Amino acid sequence: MSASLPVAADLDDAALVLRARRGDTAAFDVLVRRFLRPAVALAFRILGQREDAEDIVQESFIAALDALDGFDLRRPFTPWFLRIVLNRALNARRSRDRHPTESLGMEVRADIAPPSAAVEEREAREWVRGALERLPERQRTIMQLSGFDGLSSAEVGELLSIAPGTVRWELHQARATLRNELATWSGGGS
Amino acid sequence: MIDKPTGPDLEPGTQNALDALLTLPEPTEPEWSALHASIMAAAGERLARRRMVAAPVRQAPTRIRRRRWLATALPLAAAAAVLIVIGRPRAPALTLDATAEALLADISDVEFSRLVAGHEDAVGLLLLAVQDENEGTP
Repeated sequence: MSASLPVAADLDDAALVLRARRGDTAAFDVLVRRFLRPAVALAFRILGQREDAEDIVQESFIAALDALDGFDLRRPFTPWFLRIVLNRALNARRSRDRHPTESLGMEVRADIAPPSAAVEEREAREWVRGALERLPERQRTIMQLSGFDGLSSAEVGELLSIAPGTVRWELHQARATLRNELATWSGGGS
Repeated sequence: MIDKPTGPDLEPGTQNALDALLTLPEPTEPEWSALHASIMAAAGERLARRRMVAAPVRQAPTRIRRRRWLATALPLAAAAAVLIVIGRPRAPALTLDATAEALLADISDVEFSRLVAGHEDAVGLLLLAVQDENEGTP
């Protein structure tokens, strides 16, 4: 198959995967374009650093390409691929947690705000970041995934290979912990 | 949001801080393009290798995936036609549904040729897979 056959961007994922399996560059290109943003957004939620997230996503696309023959075409591509991204991001986070460096602060949006408000916001973010990092790993991950791209608890559970009810319970626990910690932090912090 | 979490709501300030922490600082279009190009460059060699290797050989099923592969690699009718030619194998993986069973019951050589047309590579591989299965190749 040619490497440069035009590929309709509206082909479904399975059709693109089939072509990419045969080395169709254009098909793989469409897959990358289709999943690049959600993949980086997902990795960022776990890692908190854009550059790290981009590295993980690049690795994940290559890993997915290597594993493409094992993908079951009858199943949806999105969770299969996002699970690759998530697992790699979680591994990177664990490795980073074991070998912390000085610049562990999460990137945040550069919101324009008056200096005093900016300081307060930064303090709040740092507090939340610390509280998040103190959560048990699964709760922390679920907290980070909740709200991502409209995922339901069932979909989060599918990504993490746990039951939806467990997701909801862990989320409940995580939110309760954050709320309790907030009560002890500077009179509420907000 | 996740579907109505059961936990207590966070304070708005906490929720805002959390949202800020978890929201990707949107890269610029050139940054997206650079990342995309980097991924495609990294994938280039692998894609080229895939084009060079005959697809049916590359997709040769491992033993563990054979059952699934047999069910999806070929149109069911073609798979059934192959089974007629090679005879009913004793391979347990080769269980077909009722449609295939019906095809197995009565099919001519001409009909077989028509069914497998365009699927020769896959049929060849299926034959190899069946041979492996019958010979117990790991």
